[in-house]
Amino acid sequence: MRHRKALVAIVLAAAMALAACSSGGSGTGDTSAASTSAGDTSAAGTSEQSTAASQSAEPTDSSTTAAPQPAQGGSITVGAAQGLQQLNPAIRTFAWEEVLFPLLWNGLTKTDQQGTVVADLATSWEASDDQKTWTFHLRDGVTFSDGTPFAAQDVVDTFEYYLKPDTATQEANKIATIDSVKAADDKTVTFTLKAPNALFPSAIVWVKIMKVSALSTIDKDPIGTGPFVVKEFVPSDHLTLVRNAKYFGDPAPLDEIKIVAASDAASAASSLASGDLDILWSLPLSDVDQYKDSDKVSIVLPASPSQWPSWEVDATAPPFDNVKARQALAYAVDRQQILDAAYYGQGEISPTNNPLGTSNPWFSADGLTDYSYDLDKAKELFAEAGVKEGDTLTWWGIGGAYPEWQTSGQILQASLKQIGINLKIESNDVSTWVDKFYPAGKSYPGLIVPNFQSTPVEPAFSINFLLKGRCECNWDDQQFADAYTAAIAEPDADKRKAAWADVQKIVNEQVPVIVPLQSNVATAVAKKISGVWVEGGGQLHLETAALATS
Amino acid sequence: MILRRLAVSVVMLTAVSALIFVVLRLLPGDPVITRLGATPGISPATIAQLRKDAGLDDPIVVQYLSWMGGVLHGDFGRSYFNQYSVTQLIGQRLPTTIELTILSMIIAVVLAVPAALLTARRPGGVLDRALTTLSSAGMALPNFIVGVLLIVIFAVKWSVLPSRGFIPIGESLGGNLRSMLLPSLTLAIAAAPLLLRFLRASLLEVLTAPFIRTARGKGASDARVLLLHAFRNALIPAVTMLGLIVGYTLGGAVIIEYIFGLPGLGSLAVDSVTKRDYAVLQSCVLLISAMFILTTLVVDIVTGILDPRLRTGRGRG
Repeated sequence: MRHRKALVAIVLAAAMALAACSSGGSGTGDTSAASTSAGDTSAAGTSEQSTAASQSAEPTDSSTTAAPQPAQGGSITVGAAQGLQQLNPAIRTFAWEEVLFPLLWNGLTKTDQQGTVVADLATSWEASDDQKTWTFHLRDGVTFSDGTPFAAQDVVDTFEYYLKPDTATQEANKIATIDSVKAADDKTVTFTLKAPNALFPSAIVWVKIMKVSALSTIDKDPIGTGPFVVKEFVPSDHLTLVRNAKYFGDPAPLDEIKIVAASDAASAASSLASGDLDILWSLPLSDVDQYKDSDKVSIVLPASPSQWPSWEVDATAPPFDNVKARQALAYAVDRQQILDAAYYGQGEISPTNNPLGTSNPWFSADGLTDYSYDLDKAKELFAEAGVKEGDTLTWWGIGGAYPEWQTSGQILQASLKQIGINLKIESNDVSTWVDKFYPAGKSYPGLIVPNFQSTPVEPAFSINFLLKGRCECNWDDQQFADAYTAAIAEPDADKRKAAWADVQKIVNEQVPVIVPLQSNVATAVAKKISGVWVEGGGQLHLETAALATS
Repeated sequence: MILRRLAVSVVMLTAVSALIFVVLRLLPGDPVITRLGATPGISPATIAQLRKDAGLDDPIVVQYLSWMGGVLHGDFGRSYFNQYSVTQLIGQRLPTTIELTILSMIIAVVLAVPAALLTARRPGGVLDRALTTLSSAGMALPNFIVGVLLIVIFAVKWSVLPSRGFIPIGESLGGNLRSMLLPSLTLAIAAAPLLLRFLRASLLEVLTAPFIRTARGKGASDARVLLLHAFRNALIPAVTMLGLIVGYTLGGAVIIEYIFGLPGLGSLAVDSVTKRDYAVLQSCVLLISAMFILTTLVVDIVTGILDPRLRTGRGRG
């Protein structure tokens, strides 16, 4: 009897092993492709992720917006490769933290799905003729999540906190122009600027109004005005949000949003298939195609991608202190192959090496040099800059995360090899990588540092990265700085477009950084969920997400 | 004897803590820079101030002594990346790690012990060969493959178990066990073969011993000989092995935590390395080392109970 039982057990075990092996065949593909992002995808989300104006960021997949009747209530689970580690919007480090901006907080202004700057905590605003004094009128009847009323002094306190030198905020560049902020009365705030800025309302979209007196417990009990409040937080693992009963606007459709770390890409894809994850942000680009015909999941993309790889070189150290070496490098980049092989076709190439994508409304090709792949020109310019055959440059990347960087480096390596220049590819962990070139002012001769910027479509907050002291490329060009200042001071949109064209010309000629392309941020969303959209820079919006009734 | 072991453990833990403290600071980068995440336009003065506030300016010996001083008072320091103390961060994650380790060990023992007894009964038989082959497969397959396979079968195909996440016992016991079953099984599939092979070898060795022949000569049944005489004696080395397997499982748990989205110590430690979150990592390493030392201590005590010959200081002539 015992024998027979054992035999049955073995047959069962063998059957299971066989089943495991057979599904292993199909599973291995995603395992290897995806496991690359299992590491820490975090720190390099760096950059000027900034405010405002992502032009028409509506979901491209109509099935997502046109889902069946949305119902009130329900709970969804949203995953990303990394966890959230803290909740203070002012000092966010990683791009993923921005998912909380519209959920927990409000600014004076915000951008809508079309990229237009609209009212949020302010209902209206006006500027003086010289564009240096801005007055905002605040909304009535707003309370913080702890029940205290929101007033003009909270705006003053928040801006003063953001402006403090030891608040290391990514918003600093955009608000540095503020000279003073004052509460004229309980419902009116006045900003005085040091220089004219016609784009001020869009510069402050991501300054989130908080209760500054509660800052010391913000990671445990954040007090904001947004549609959700925090129920539970385990840093780097999960954050559970529930609907804020005191929210001033339309109540959020969902009862609960759980934001979790889904670090292993292969198992994250399985969780999406099994329904344990409803949304997965920033899919590995290699995985996007597999959802093309899925009946459960659709892919939501920004309408105009404004995330761009930025390969930085040191413009103050040889060989890239010579503009010809930078132009040579721009010619040596096989943009089409990099888009196809490294980014799986998810994006659009930038032949003019431009931070503004070709679909950006402010883009202007007029008078720009076309840096399409041309090794002869690259070789000639490199020679003029003193880079000879047999010389070696270094690709200073990150290992484990960002497989697209690794592939881009290999493609560049093959291209440079053809003109006799060696490219040594180095893969580091995030902290080692960043330590080499950051902050601006460090010297790193001969290094090419891949990075990326996720910026709004508005040039003021993407191109400002190139201003002196910000870009680690250490580029310093007075002509550029003047052209930039003139552009942001111009209130008339048509004239401003011409001003941005001048700025693009300088950037195009001087090549402060290499911009191979603009890339997509892809988000997988279960088809039963509606109301999810993504900004050009990749910021995910869940505040209007709802579950279908069925 | 236990006191002496404890004293040695304290010395070992101190050495481990000093080592990890120094090695971490030899790596390029620091938490302040990583925290800034390459935020453009930060002045060097601000960075210097942030470093000073974080105490990273002090000589390394001062930093170490001040951290150790805190540890002695139960204060393990704070994360550089949020407002949580290390004690809170670890407290959020320790229950998962402990439960995962215990459950996977129970499953491994439940799988390995009967299998070892079956194989040792007829070495070279069909059963023996089948189980040994299966156990080789179990050892050869990496954790992350087994984990994903189990997810595909039980969560995606059959939809009977969740593919990810952790439900605390306090919330729902059933839900907790459901969420822990696949991860524990994955770890057990790696650990059970080790135990099985070791136990089988040790059983076979014991079965050739003279006292087994005596027992058989006295007319004891096969089952009685195997279970009562051989198994008990073969268990002693296997328990020692189990202690080592626990340590091995603690190491493998990192990948399992990532795959199944469990909030455990392993993923906390790995995140802290890449971010250079010094205080968190130091404390994780200290705790994991302490858990390992504690396990071996327990194993020694258990083997002492199982085999009176191993007890020291209480010799019987």
